[in-house]
Amino acid sequence: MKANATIVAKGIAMADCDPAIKKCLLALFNFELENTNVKNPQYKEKYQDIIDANVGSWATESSGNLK
Amino acid sequence: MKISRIKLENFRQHKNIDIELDSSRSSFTILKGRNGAGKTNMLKAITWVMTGKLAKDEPKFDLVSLVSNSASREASKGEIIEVVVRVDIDLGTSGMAQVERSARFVKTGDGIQDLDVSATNLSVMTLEDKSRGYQKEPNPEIWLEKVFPDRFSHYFLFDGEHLERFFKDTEATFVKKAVLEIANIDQLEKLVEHLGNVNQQLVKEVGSIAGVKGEELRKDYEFIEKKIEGIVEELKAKEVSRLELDEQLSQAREKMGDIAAIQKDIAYRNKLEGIAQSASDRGREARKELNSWAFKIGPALMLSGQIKAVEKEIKTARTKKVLPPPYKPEALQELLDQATCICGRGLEANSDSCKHVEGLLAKFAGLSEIGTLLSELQQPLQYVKARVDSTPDTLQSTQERIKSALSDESKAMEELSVIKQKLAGHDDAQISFIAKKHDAAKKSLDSLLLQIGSLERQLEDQREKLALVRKDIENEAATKAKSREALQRQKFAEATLKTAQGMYENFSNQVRVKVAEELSQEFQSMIWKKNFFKPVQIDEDYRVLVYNKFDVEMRGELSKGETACLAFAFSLTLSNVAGFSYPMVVDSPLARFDSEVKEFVSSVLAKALESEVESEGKQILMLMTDSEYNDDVADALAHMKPKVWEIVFDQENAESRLVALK
Repeated sequence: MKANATIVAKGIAMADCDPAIKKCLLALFNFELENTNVKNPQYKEKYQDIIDANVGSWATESSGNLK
Repeated sequence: MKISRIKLENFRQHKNIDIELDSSRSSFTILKGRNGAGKTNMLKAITWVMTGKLAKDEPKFDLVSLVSNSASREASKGEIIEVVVRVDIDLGTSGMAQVERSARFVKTGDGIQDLDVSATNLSVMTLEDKSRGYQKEPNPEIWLEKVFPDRFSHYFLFDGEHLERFFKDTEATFVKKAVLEIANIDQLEKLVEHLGNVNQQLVKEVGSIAGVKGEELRKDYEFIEKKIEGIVEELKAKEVSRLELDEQLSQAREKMGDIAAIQKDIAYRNKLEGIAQSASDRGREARKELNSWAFKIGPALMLSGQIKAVEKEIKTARTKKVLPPPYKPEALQELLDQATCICGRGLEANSDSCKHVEGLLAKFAGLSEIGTLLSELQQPLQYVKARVDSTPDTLQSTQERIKSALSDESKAMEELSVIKQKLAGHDDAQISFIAKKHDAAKKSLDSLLLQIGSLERQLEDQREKLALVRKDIENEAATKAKSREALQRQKFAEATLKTAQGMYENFSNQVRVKVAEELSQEFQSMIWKKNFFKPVQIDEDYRVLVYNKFDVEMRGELSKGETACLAFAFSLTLSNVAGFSYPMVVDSPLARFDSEVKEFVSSVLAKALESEVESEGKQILMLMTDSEYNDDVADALAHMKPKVWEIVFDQENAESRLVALK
């Protein structure tokens, strides 16, 4: 077994979940990979941007999160 | 990743060492040498250049201690001495790199230790494109941490004599970090943490735009959040203390283990002292007896010739009847008084018979007195003669007793000297101090665990409260059009967070199970009691557990050989999980084994590593003493075709050099 970033990324891509969540997770994961060696990455703004970019295509009804 | 060259300058006894290792294919190198030749310092040099430490257990050290005594002795005041360790690394398709760590010193006096550190430096040169040549890495520390993370360096650069600490429970969190890091799942862990924080931020944002009630709820949320932060901080601090106490307890336990061995040695020492004392007493007694006997028998021995002659004379006189045979004159007188001889003849007064007997009595009266005296003398003479005659036997047996006592005493003293040397520095006060420390650490840990338990309960309560307030915020926000969009965003973040948390759990469990499976396979391939152990497990806290077939956990009870196999297996497993091979440098891999286990381990280890060597291009460097690399071990490892070097210490110049053997 050789676990590496590709396998984790593949795992996210192949996960059985909402496509918007999947896309969001991949973007967030790539951000973390790019900042591996940064002690305190300024993540909050970037995270919110990624969330904003994906929330529009979120199938809220199918996820059942909002009534 | 392979080391293609190791260059040491002025590093302890390695004043100038330059060794090229085969990196073109799998390589197995043995550096053998006597104790003190510099094997361990070779491992420390490699560890220093790669991590900045000398060993995991030695993060802090005096840099001056690195300087070669020989170099320091030769340097004059004001001169600069530079300690340099460089390793050239072959990164396969990623190119080559040269990692160099150095420390500069100024000689301040005449003494060897009169040195001041003037500078330390780490430089990394990488060669990715041959046409561009080596390029200097702008952030060598970061580059090194990325290529060879310090966190698990000790699983590849290790001392075979300290394997019992390899899997201790306090290391479990580091094992977890190492495994997750090399599997890159730690990035997912960071994602979960960051997304959790962002989600909380979004919840508050939703509250703040959901009207007056929403704002009040936001304040409540923030208040509870701060409370939680406080508890988490407190828990973190307690966790640090718990790890420290665990470490203290673990060290105290190890020492307690040592104490049991020391107490055994002390009991044996006392027994030996008893044996030596008893032998000494026996010897003294025998010598005393010999002296007393010699004192008594001495004059007799000196006069033994005359005594024998006197006794002989007495015997001769009796034979010739010059002396009367022993008789009783009173019996003769009784015959005269009764006037009857024992033969029935009459002994009437004035008869011839009576006169004859009376004549005899008169004639032998004088002689009888002498005879009686001589007879009385004969008894002690015979006794003395017997003693004189027995002299050789008595002398021999007493001398044998003395000899035996001396031999017993000497043997006991010899063993005593060994055991006393072993016990040097241990005293009752020290043992009692360690026992007290152990008890104190245990007591503190118990109390700390109670506090942690209480904090965890508080944390759970506050989190429940937080969830309730969040629900209230959601409900409040859902009723207002302006906050619905923000709520949608927060709900999306929350759903993403939950998915990420699930994935993290899933991946880390998968990796843990895979690591355990691989570790188990490697371990089973090395041990002979294959049916006795169940597959090795790694629990959720990343503690390595080894159960026997009776479901008894016995990692702590494994033999030295089995512990070594588990350590080697773990190192190989981590290497596999990492996806590329790290060089494995092991000092004294077989030091704590008896000869049979040595042969066995070297044989199975060779077999296990052989597959690694062929599939992954593994590089192994073993630092062995002459007694470790004996003929049996050499035979067992021969099919791996190791390149063997000898580290020879030149006593005159106080420096080591390398000699290629084969």
